[in-house]
Amino acid sequence: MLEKIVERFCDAPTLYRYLLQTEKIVEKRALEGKNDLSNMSLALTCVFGFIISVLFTFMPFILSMDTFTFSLIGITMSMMMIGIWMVPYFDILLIPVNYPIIAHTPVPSHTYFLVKLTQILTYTTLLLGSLNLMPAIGGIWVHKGEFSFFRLLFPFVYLPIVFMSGFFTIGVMTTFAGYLTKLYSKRILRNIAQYAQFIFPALFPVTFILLPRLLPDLSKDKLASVLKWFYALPNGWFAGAVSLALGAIERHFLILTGLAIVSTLILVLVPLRSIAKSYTEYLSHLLESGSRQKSKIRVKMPLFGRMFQNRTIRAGLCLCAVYMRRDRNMLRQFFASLGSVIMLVVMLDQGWVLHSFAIGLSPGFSAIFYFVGFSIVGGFIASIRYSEHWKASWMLALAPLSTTHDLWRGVQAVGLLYIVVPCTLLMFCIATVLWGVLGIFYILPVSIMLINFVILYPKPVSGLPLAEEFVQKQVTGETMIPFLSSLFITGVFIGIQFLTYLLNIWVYYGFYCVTVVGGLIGFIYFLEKNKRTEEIVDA
Amino acid sequence: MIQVSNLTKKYGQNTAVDDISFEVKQGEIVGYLGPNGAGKSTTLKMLVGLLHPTSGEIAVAGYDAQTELLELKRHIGYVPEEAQLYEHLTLVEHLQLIGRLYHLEERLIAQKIEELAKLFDMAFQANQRISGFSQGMRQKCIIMSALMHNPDVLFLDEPFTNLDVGTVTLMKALLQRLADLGKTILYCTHILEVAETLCPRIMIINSGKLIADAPVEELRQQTNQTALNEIFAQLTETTGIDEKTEEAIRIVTENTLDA
Repeated sequence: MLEKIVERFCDAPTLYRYLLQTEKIVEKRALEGKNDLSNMSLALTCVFGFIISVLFTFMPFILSMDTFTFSLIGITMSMMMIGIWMVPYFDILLIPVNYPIIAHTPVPSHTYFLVKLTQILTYTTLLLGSLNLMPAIGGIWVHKGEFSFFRLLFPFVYLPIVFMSGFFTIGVMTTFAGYLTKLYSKRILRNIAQYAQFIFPALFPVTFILLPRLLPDLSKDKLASVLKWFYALPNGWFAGAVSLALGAIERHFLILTGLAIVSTLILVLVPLRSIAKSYTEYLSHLLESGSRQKSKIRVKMPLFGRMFQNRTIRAGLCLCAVYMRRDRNMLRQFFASLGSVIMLVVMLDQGWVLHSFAIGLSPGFSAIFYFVGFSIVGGFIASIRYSEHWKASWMLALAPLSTTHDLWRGVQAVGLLYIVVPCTLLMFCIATVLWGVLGIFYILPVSIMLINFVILYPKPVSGLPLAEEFVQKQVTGETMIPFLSSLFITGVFIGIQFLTYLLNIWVYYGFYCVTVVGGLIGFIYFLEKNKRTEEIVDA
Repeated sequence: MIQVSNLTKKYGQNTAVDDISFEVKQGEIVGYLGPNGAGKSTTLKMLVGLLHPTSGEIAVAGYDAQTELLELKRHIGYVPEEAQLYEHLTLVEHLQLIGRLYHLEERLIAQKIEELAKLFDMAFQANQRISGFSQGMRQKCIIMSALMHNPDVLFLDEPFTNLDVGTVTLMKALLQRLADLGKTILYCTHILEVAETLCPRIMIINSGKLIADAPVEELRQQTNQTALNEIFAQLTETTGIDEKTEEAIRIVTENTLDA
């Protein structure tokens, strides 16, 4: 149905249908080679959205709220979720991979734009459906959970308006993205999308910390005055439209409904139309490399590269350090693992980390450090095996390397120098602020355990970094192992700390010493073992 | 310098390279020709150690490919046909990586990068990412990588693809001079004009079998043809070109459906 509606706005409907059909086939076949989890990512997102919506649906039964408040919360949640979830899908619009294939053919810009927009709107519709189906039904019981026959109309009013608000969100994002393409190169745009993916979800815990401080004691009267602030925002306009359609004929709802309709119309008729007209021009502009030429050749070595005399280790280190900074997939993994840092901030803020050790409900500073470090290091090492440029590993295979040990040591060096060391320093600073010089003793055991984790992390089968293809990735097994292990080992670590502290403080100190000394012995043992293996191979 | 005997590569039931044997002496440039899918690139991949032969023996620069592969790799340079590169690296970073993998001194690497980049007119792009390079620039990048460590034997698989005229001319002269200096070059192509001017000796492979191995003059006498493309067509039994051309013209120019 969506396609039929969009087709009406199209200059060349036949071309639109053919192009959309082709895009669908290409998309479907591209997923065929991928693992089950990649195939199911959209379905999982919808399921997640559905679960959130079910929780929200029960709100009218617990809290007393009117139609406007219920609709406002539903529409705000829906607009925010759509905004966040659609960021990765904006590559379809911003940097369509298949554009160079049709760039030289007489396809009108407007038509191609609508094809791409339809693809995004299809995903949007699915997500909107999963997010709003249950709240639309739950809305019937708004007003202290009371049922009335008039309120049976709620789903028929709420659903079209919430869909309109979702499409409005996509329209605003498309307009914003369309103007960004004028300003920035392909690489910068991709980076912006990458950072946005991280920053938006990170705002959730921040609001979790900030909101209670902003609204310390929100009474019902104060809530009404706070809600008025939303009249200035699009979510308030659409919520007003729901109230008006359900019989709340009031002047401010009339104005809000007018604003919702006018703003949507302006959005479609002015900026989106303008972007559609010159869309292919933007894309052609993006195809240009756009990088500035520099006449002076700069041959530099990364700072830590100088630390290693072995040139193969240095090669591995430099290659991985560059990919860690520039590869999109690795950055994504890295950003995801930074979520644990946000957790740490929240825990510190809530006063859940009062001690260095696990006591009561507090997991303890050391355990938190262990979890943060393990997540970031694990995220890095798990992703360094894979690259979209995996075919380039022929160079590593062609090189006269007796073993791949040294290349992998380069990876380990990156893990230690670029992650473990900064992580340790950061935690040391926090620990020093909290406990003074003693902080170093709380950092030491975990640092040693992290170093051992980096050294012991299993090498890929090929032994070469960045040499495996993403479609071979067994997401269910391989990439979940580091995360699940981190949870498990952190749990065990907290458990032992907790137990030893409960038994006797000396048992706790004993455990501490065993961790530090055992870790150091393990570190030296594995270094020696590696050296011996290399000597045997060389011989 | 290159010794190949009874080399065979099978992919299941399909035989890509079928029992071929040849020898290339030091300082020789040998053209390795054949139609698409004849087995040229497969042979080269086995010679450089990227593929394991199903059977047969390979020795390059005096090193056996099975027992002394590491030493063999130290003495060869390879330009593959469709090379993938680490796109997030800059040209400088890429050449540094290659130099380090071949254990060159850092200062020598830096010096070679500067000189090679200037030689191949890539000084302005040296600090740009490979992802922004044109096909020709990528090809130059691969050629520079193959020359970085001063190899004794060069395996070149369609090395002039996408290169501009100036670079092709430079490369032809460079290969000639390298051969004069005692470097051995196995030059794999299906562009016969370049092979004719550059390679005194030609080997032709068709459907995995080596069907000719002789100096160009000898091939001319054997086939009673003067041009290499005619020799090639005769040996690979490429016939019916005129009929195919006519058929192609008919297909291209037709604007109405057949009755």
